[in-house]
Amino acid sequence: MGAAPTPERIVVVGAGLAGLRGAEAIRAAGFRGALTIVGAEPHRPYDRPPLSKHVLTGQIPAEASQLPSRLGRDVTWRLGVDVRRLDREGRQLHLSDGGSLPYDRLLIATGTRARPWIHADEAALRNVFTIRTREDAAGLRAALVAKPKRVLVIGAGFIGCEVAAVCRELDLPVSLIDPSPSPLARVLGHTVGAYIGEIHRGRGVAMRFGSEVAHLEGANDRVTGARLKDGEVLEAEVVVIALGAVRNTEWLDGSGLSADGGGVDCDARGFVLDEGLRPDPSIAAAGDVARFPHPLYGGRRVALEHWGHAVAQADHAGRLLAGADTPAAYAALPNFWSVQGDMVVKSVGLTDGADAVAIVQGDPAQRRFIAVYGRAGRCVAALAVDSARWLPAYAESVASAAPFPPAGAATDRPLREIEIREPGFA
Amino acid sequence: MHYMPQVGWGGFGAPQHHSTEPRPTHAVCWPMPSDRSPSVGPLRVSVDLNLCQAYAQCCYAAPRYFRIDGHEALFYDPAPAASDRIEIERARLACPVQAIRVQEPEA
Ligand SMILES: Cc1cc2nc3c(=O)[nH]c(=O)nc-3n(C[C@H](O)[C@H](O)[C@H](O)COP(=O)(O)OP(=O)(O)OC[C@H]3O[C@@H](n4cnc5c(N)ncnc54)[C@H](O)[C@@H]3O)c2cc1C
Ligand code: SF4
Repeated sequence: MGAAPTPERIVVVGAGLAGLRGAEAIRAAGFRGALTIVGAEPHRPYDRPPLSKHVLTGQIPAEASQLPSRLGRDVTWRLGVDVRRLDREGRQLHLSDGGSLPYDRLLIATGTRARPWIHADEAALRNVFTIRTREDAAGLRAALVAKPKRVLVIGAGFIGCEVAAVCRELDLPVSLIDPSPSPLARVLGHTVGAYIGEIHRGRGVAMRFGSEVAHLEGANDRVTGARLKDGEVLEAEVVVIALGAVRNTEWLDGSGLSADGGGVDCDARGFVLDEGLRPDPSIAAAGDVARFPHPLYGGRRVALEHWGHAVAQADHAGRLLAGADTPAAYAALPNFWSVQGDMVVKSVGLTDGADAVAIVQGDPAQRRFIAVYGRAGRCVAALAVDSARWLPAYAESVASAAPFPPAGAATDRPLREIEIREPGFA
Repeated sequence: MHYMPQVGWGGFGAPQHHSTEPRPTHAVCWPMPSDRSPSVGPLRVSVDLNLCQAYAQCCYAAPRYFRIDGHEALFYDPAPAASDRIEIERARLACPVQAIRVQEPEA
C-alpha cells in the first residue's frame, strides 16, 4: 500500500451520508486530485432520519433535510446518474447515461433501499408506502394529511415503531403488526421489546403481534386493508411497509468483488474483498452497504444500518483511500438513536448473541430505563429509553467488554438488586 | 450562554429572548419561501443525535429553531433562514458536545 503512487482521481459512488462524509474525509486528509461523487438520486446528500419523524408530522418539509457539507466547490457532482457496472481491470465505472468514468481509487457508499412488499402487484396499490427517500416521505405525509380512518404499519422495527408513534401524535388510528411477540424483538429481544411495546400501547397503538400479513387487499387500485395468514382481514386506508432494507450491490455483479444482498465484504481495514477474499487496495466501502469484521465482536462480519456508523466508517474509509494514517482495524462502537413520538431510544454496542439482559437504572414502568446486555459474562450492548445522559457510562463498559452485569458507579442500584433475565431472542 | 448550569430541562428559566412568546410550533417558524431572498438558500444544519445529550443549550440560544420535546427528543430545523445565521451560530457554539454542524448557503 505504502508504495502505491498518489492517486489522481477518486470517485465516490453513492451521494448519501456516507458518500458525503467519505468525500469530506478524503479532502481533509489532503487529497488534491479530482474528486467526483456519483449519486442515483437527483439531490445533494440529505438526512434520512427526519423522514420517518418530523417530516411525517409535518414539522419540516421533506426537501428540507439537505446535509451540511464541507466540500465547497472543489468536487464534481454527478447526480441523477447511477453506476451500472464496475470494471476493476479497466478501472472504469459504467454509468446509466451511457458514459463511463475512470478512477484510481473508489469509495463504495451505495447504501440500502427499502425492502419491498413481497407481492409486487399489491405493493403497487395506491397508499402503500415504504420509506427510504424524500419522495417516499412526502407521499406518505400527503396520505396522512388526508386523515385516513386507519393506518396499518407492517413490521415493528425502528422505522415501523417511529411511524406508528407519529400516527398517534397526529391522532390517527394505527395498527402495528409483526410476527414477533413484541416490537423491536429481533434487535432488542422480547424482554425489552415488551417494555417498549407497552409504551406504544399506552399511547393508543393497536398491537398485532404474533400475526403475519399474507396479502394486501385493494379496490380500484387503492389499498383497503390486509388479509392475515389466519384469514382475518384488517381494514386500512394507508399501509406502510417497514420490513427492513436491501443493500444496493447489484451494480457490483461481475466485478469480481464479494458482495450480495447483505453487503459488500471488506477486510478489517476497510478495503473491499474479491471473491477469493483478497483485499483490493484501491477500493473501500462505508455505510449501510459495507459488511466488515468487527473486532469488538470476535471478528464477526456485521453490516450496520445506522447514521453514526455511516459517519464513522466513511471518515475512516476516506482517510484510508487518501493514504492517510488509519488504525489497522475499523472498530468504532456501533450506536444509534430512534425517536418514537417524543420518546428517545438510544443504544450502543450490538445485542446479537446476547444471553442475558439487566435493567440497571430507571424503571420500565416509569418509561425511563437503561438495559445492559451480556454475552458470556461480558457487556455487549446498552440501551437507554429516555435516559440518554446515563448511556456514556455504559458505553464504556461495552467498549471495554467489562464483566456483566456492570457493577458499581455505573448503576443506580446495588449489584445484588440487579435482576438478570433472558433477553428473549427468538 | 456557553456553560450554563443545568437544572434539568425547563428548570433554568426562560430563554433570553422571546421569553413572553409561547414556544413556537415549527409549522409557524418554518420560513415561507416568500421570506427567502431568491439568491440565497437557507443554512444547512444537522445534529449528531448520538452525541446530543438533550442539554438544551441550543434551544436557549436559538429557540425558534431548536426545541426539546418530551424528556429529551431534540427537534431542530435543518434549513434555517440565512438571515438568522447569528442565532444558529450561537446555538452551534453553545452545544457542550459539539453535535451541531452548520453550512452557509451556497452562492
Ligand atoms: C426513514 C429512515 C429513518 C432513519 N432513522 C435513523 C435514526 O433515527 N437513527 C439512526 O442511527 N439511523 C437512522 N436511519 C439510518 C441512516 O439514515 C442510514 O444508516 C444512513 O442513511 C446510511 O447512509 P449511507 O450513505 O450508507 O446510505 P444511503 O443514505 O442509503 O445513501 C446511499 C445513496 O447511494 C445511492 N445509490 C445506490 N446505488 C447507486 C448506484 N449504483 N450508483 C449511484 N448511486 C447509488 C442511493 O440512491 C443513495 O442516495 C434511518 C434511515 C431511514 C431510511
Ligand atoms: S444539540 Fe447540543 S446543545 Fe442542543 S440539546 Fe443536544 S447536546 Fe444540547
